[in-house]
Amino acid sequence: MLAVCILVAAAVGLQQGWRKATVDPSEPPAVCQLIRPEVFDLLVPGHGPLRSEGAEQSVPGTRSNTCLAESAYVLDGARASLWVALVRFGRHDGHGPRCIDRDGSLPMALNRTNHRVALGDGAVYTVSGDPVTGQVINFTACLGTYLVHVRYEAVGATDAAVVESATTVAQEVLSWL
Amino acid sequence: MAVMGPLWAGDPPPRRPADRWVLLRTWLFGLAAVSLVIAVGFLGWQLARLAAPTVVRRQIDVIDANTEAPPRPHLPASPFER
Repeated sequence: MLAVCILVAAAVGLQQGWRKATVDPSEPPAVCQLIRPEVFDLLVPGHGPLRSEGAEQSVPGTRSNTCLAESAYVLDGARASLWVALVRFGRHDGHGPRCIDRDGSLPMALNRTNHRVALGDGAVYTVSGDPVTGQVINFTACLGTYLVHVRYEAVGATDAAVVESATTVAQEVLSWL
Repeated sequence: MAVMGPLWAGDPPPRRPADRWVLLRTWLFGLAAVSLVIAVGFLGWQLARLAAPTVVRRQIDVIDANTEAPPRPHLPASPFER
């Protein structure tokens, strides 16, 4: 009887300790350096210097960094901004490091059509806006312990072109991981 | 008139020293058993907490080693070309 109680106590202790453990992963590579400069030049005409933010914005159990490129001026009616985040998962709140297994890692917008894409372990995007005021695409892809989020906003581009551009950026980042 | 009183006459029989010793031993054993169970649970919790970083890093290494990255894409056409 005592032996059973001890075993149960050990199992409960181990399970609780494991479930509540928070482990930060190692730092992901800087996402600005995973995208070729030519890609920025093509997708964000007239962009200024790239702005990156480091891991200080990361939530517990993750490490992330971001990269932002914005058109400094309108070039032939074309203007764009590209924001890319690279997140690496560790463990937090009972969720493990595999991106695709984590609830909500691939966001599902309720009021828009969610398009699934065969990229990495899974990818999804939504499009909003119109070509005149600006198309906005939010593209999220999972690969292993990494998540890439691309937010591309373009004025003067078609739906299809915006989707293709964001997909290319996400694949470019994933290809280095 | 009936008078309510103890069911037996006089005080209960005094406990012998041997009975007290057995009772004390039973209580001490129970206390030790409960303490042991709590200590083992706490030890398990600490062990899991301390082992988690190593286990998670190992998980990350295994997941990333078994993940195949997609090929680098060709440069995209400018989305602003009409």
